[in-house]
Amino acid sequence: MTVPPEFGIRESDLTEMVVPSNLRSAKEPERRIVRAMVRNGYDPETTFGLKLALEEAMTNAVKHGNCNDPSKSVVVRYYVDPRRVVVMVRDEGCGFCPENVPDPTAEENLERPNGRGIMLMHSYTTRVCYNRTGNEVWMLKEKSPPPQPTR
Amino acid sequence: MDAEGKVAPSPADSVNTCNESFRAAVEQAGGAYVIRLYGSAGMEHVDELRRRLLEVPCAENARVVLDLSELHFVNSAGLGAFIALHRRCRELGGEVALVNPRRAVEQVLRVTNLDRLMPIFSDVESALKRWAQPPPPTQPPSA
Repeated sequence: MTVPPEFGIRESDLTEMVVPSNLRSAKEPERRIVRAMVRNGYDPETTFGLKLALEEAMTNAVKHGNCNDPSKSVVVRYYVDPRRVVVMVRDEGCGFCPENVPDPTAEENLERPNGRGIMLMHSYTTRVCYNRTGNEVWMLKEKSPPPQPTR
Repeated sequence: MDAEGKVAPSPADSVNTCNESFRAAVEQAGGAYVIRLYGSAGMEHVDELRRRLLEVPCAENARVVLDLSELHFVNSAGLGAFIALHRRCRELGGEVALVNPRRAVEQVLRVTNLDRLMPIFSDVESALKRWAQPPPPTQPPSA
């Protein structure tokens, strides 16, 4: 899948990293993206939100997509400018159907220990897209406009 | 949260995305276990968080306070560890309370509705005081 057109960037804008499929290695792309966000003037709350969404995507890729198989890899592509952050995470798994994940905020699911990652990715980013297989997720986080002055 | 369920950024007074260490300290106070969490409960530390919470002996009617005032980050796996502790305590008649989360962490708790599962207090004393109070008397059924 190529970068979704509504994300407003070109393929050539993206930086790619391939990391071994384990949670420790998965931190490196996160560190680079967070550092780039700080350099580009994002406030800590926006950075927190992107970091959370990215951790959920990476955890899903390592645990569910690649089934904790250390011989597999996770591909991360990212772009950061002062207006937007774009991140793609792809695993080697056979994918899933995001629509089939039950709503973790429903009363009957509140005590389930898992299943909140996808909901958090949607809550903390501007847009989330999957490829047809479901093993590649694209996230767009736009910088929020500055608060309007009150009269 | 706005109408689409997106979380709106709030003033940047409470987030430290650079602090990536994690530590937990357990003590007993007022008949409860108080677990203070420090740093970031991110994906590289979630096993440690889970292990520390499992070490808490949830005997019958155990009350556990999770002091989140120094926790800068938590992801869904960390929330899962909180829920596992809550379920373990509740099965034995106990309870878990959350205390003083930073604004960003509190937002995560609220957006996932976990504040409906575990009450949030402003400080440890308030949580302990609430447990010290006798339960409200039950109203007799009206004739």
